[in-house]
Amino acid sequence: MEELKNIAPTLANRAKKVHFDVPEDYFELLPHQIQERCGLKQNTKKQFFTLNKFRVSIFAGVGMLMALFFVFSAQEQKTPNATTEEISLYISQNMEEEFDEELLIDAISSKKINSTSTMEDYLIESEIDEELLTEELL
Amino acid sequence: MAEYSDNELIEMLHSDNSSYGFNLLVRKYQKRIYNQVRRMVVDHDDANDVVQNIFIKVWQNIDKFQANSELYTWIYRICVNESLTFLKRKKTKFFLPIVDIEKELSGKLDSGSFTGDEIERKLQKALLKLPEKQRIVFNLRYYDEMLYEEMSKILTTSVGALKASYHHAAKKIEEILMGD
Repeated sequence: MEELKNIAPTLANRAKKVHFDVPEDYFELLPHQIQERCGLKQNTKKQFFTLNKFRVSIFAGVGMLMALFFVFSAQEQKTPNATTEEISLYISQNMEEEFDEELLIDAISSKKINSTSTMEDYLIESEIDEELLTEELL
Repeated sequence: MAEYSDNELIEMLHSDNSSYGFNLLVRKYQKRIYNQVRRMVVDHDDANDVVQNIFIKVWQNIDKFQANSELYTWIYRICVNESLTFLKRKKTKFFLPIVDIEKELSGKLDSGSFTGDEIERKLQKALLKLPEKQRIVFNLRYYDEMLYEEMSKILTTSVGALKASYHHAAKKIEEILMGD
């Protein structure tokens, strides 16, 4: 204050007090508020990443479902939509002379028709003459 | 609560106990920093925002703090920068020339949150007429009784220039106080 005595005596002689009102308990609460804000930033970051993970999972799930849908629909399209008559016609035109019992046996075995009842059912349904078949096979 | 030295606080801030150390640091400096900021921005809510930002910056940058400089000086430097940035932003936000900011802040001194007598109010209003940097020099020297050498580190200005600035400010304020 010595330096002010000559140039600013009024200032030099004044008591220096703080004259600004501060809310009650302000300085008690301020450190907690500041720490909370520092912590809040970290939490906000955490929440942001958690939320993003959640969103990514949802998008990934939806993506996978869409991919599966397209794969299956593509496979369905590959399956020929031929009617039974068309198949019979194709067989009669292309396989009649080259029909081979071994091929039939192979076809039956590849379909894994193991049980006798299934075999009998098939023969009845297809109206195949058993005697003729036995003659052919023997 | 025992007040820790700056070195002890720095050690704590760099340890696993950093959160507690930070709490102690805020408690040690909050009043000085708040009063410094409040004299600059006048309004409590504005001062509160600026003070919180100052300590958040301290927390965020404590790893970058170099032990060869003083913690006290470093915090005050952040305080000065944040206060000036706040006032600058306020001006550009509302496209107000300096005189209007001074009017606005002066008006706030007439509100109920200022409890000083008439001469004190006059002193605070006179302070608002000073250029911002000169006001900071005056506040640091007059209210905080800071040494010119410390102020020099904070404001990166020579001791001679600071002395001259303080003398000009004090003379101007005295004239305003004696004016009426």
